[in-house]
Amino acid sequence: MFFARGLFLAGIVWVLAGHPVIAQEAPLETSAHRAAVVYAGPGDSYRQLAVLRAGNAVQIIERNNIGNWLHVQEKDRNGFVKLDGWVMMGYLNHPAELRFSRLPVNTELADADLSTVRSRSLAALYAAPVISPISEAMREVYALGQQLGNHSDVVTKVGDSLTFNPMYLEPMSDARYDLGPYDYLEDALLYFGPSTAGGSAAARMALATYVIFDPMWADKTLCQPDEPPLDCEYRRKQPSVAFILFGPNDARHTTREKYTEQMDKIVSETLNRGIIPVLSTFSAHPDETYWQQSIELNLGLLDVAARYDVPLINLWAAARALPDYGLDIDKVHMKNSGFTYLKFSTGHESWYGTSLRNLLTLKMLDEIYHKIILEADS
Amino acid sequence: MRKGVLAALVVLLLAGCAGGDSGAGDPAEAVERYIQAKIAADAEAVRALLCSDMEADFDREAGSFAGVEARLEGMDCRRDGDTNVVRCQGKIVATYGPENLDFPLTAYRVVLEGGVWKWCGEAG
Repeated sequence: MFFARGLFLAGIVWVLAGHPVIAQEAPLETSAHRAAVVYAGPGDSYRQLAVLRAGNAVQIIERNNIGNWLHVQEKDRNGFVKLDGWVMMGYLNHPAELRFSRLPVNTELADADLSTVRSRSLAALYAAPVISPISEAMREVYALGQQLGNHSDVVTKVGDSLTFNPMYLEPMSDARYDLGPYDYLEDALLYFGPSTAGGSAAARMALATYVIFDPMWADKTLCQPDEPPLDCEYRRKQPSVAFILFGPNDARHTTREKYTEQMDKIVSETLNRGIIPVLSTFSAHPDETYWQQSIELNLGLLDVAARYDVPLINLWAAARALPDYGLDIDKVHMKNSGFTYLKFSTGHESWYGTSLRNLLTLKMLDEIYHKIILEADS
Repeated sequence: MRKGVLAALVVLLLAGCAGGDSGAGDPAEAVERYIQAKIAADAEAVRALLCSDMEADFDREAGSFAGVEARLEGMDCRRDGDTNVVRCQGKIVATYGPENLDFPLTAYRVVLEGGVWKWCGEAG
């Protein structure tokens, strides 16, 4: 008894002496601004549990690793939990105090529940995480790039019209950014953002995997004679990271074998220059003519990413929960929000494909910044 | 003696024909035909006009414009003196959805292979 009382007093003295007190912040409360489907996990492949009605108050428990899905609980009058599940961020009002850097991250649940996906090929696509881990091999690639004179804070983009779109990547150079609750991404944005201005010689409308090696497709005002667009861009910018997306054009006239063969060449060339290639699957609409071929090419891309152990953004899976899969009226190009700067305070990432892609790109840059660049510098 | 001189002249004449390019046609025309074949994704014609150094690039060359509708505007190619360079004016215009993409024509390298002029990439 005296011993216990002594410990208690010692504890008070320890606290009064100025040692930090770890306090659990009370869960934030918010509400849906429109009816939202509540899922059993952070992805559209999880079971649908209920619909959260607009205006109903919920407590925010945790987030997924990106922050575009939140685990919420709705309680009844007696304080008992009556609804417990995951909602897309864009359906909720954002409390001003909401900062993802302070919100617990769920590391248990995967991005998809494969048990609900009947198609084998779709299950294989869902199985890839939305943001892949960064492999050890990429540290070596980065180190090679530094030896070759690449710029650690420069990123570029490679691809077709989806990537050429000035609303992709380039808004990161605009100082008017509004990250909203995604405060944890600010370091990466400030580090890489300025380099994204001005487009890319390796991103052009109608580009396909063959064309990226064809000098005839190079911008003659930027590139040297007989220089392919990919070489031209890498020579001009000497980036440390390249975001690469091909597929919507290839799906119209290329087989999966040819596509992966060409992607192999693109990845090899990028790695040889000490540039980290970040591959991305592409969103597709089931009503579109080339839907099945799009799935095939995306599956081929997963093989390429695995073969070279390079980072992958599974945009296809992440965009599944968006209206029209994040696509515009043509069912090919991603829908833009209309903002020319990054704006994540109003949930655009849950509505517009381009906003989602920018968010996932920035998240991947955050991973590369902390796991490769900062560690190499230290 | 006269017969010997005549025979020597004939041999010289034949040798001159074989070593030169006078029978090979106009290299500028070969370039124009190559560009037409490339934008039409005509694999057979591309193969016939592509130099052997670029055989490894055949798939790329034949498939480069397969995904778009393309046409030529104002193409005019001329050999640069006696060099193996052909300079072209005009452009390729490719249609992609509602957009037009312009590809200005430039200078190209040609080589004579088997008595035929072949397109061999852009001239540096």
